[in-house]
Amino acid sequence: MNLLAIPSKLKNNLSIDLPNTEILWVDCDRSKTIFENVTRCGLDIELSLIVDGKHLLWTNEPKYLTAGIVWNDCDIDNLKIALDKWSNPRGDEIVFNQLHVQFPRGWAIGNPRSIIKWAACSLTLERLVASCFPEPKKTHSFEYPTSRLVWLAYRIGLKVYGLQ
Amino acid sequence: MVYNNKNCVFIRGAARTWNYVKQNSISQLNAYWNNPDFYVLMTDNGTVTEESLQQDFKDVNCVSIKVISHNNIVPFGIESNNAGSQQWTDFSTNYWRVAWYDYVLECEKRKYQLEHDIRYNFTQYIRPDLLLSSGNKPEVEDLYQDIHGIISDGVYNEDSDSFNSNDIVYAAGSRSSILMNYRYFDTYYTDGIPNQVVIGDHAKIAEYMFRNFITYPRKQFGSPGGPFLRPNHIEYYLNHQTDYDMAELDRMTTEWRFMGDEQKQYYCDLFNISKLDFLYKV
Repeated sequence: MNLLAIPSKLKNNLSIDLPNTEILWVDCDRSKTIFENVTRCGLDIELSLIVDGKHLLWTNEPKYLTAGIVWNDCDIDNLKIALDKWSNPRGDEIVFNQLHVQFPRGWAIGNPRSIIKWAACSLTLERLVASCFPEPKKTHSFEYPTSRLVWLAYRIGLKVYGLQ
Repeated sequence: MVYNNKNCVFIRGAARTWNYVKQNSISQLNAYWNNPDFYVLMTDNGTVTEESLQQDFKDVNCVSIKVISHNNIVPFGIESNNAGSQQWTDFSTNYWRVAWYDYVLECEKRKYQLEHDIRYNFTQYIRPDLLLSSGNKPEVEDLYQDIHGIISDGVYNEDSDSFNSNDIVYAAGSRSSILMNYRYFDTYYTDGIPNQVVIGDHAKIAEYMFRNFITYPRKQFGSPGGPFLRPNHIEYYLNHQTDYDMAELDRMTTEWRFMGDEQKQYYCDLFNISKLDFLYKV
């Protein structure tokens, strides 16, 4: 079973059928940063995994083998392919739709443990960016925030893959 | 986006002698971290209740109070003989217990930050049974490095030439704090290995820090800390609250360490402390 957290605003953009997948529709705030919304989605996944004081991931037969977060509709049609291909990722694996810096990213899937750790750490990216990259170069046209989300995944020790 | 920057404190573990040190702990932490938000989690062994903790923290900013069973702490559950998990022949219960507590409080912390547009600078971690005194406060201007990625705990023991963190009492910058709270989902000690206990609990924490790029600051800073207050210390402490002698506490700590279970239970009963706070072996 897969567990995805997707902002409610993308409800109409998701035209594909995702079999064997539970979706948590998250009310993300447009005025917040992409990092904060990713964190919010991750937190919703986490809270749904704690039942009666126990964590559903640490059982002999975990219900969810793959989790994911979608933050925009970029490459959203490839989600189904990704979920088929990465149906049982290892505990430290995360897959983005795209790793190349010249293309924006729209979602990440992976082992639930990787996804929630990465999403939680996204909350501190705003500060990290402010302290380490105070003035991003304007010459780059691609979306900086999503590149930083990939960088973060490397930085916290995950194994990072791109679908394409 | 402008956020309110604050500090927060995690107090977690078995309550033990909490009821005798709580006034000192709360006032020390409140002053040191400039009115922090408190997140409290203690084990449901009978020494404290949610109501008693709410009363303890009624004059400070306490965001979350939890009193939980110790049965759910470890991955895959605990064997009936308490020897370890069902998944591994040996199991580092102490490591996972605190990891679980920190993770539960981390969820509360992040929820509160998102709902109230707060970003915490430092998180102070302590266990409930410490006789706290102040340490050196981190000076942001003096550190000249990413303060959010640092931790006050040591990670390397030069004497023994090994990874070894001091203890589970430390202060961590915002990013270090989140990463430390996610050690409950670390794959390094769990996935694809038959036996977990290849290194000690303190070494486990230290290796986790290295693998997650949690760094030790160039300029060392301390955080509030202090000796344990054991049940056999209480009478002495109550008579010497302002002038207690560390050597005497050390002597009594050694005495406690070599005390039999029956005598420990006598002290626990004498001071209304659940024996489960000390004697459980899970």
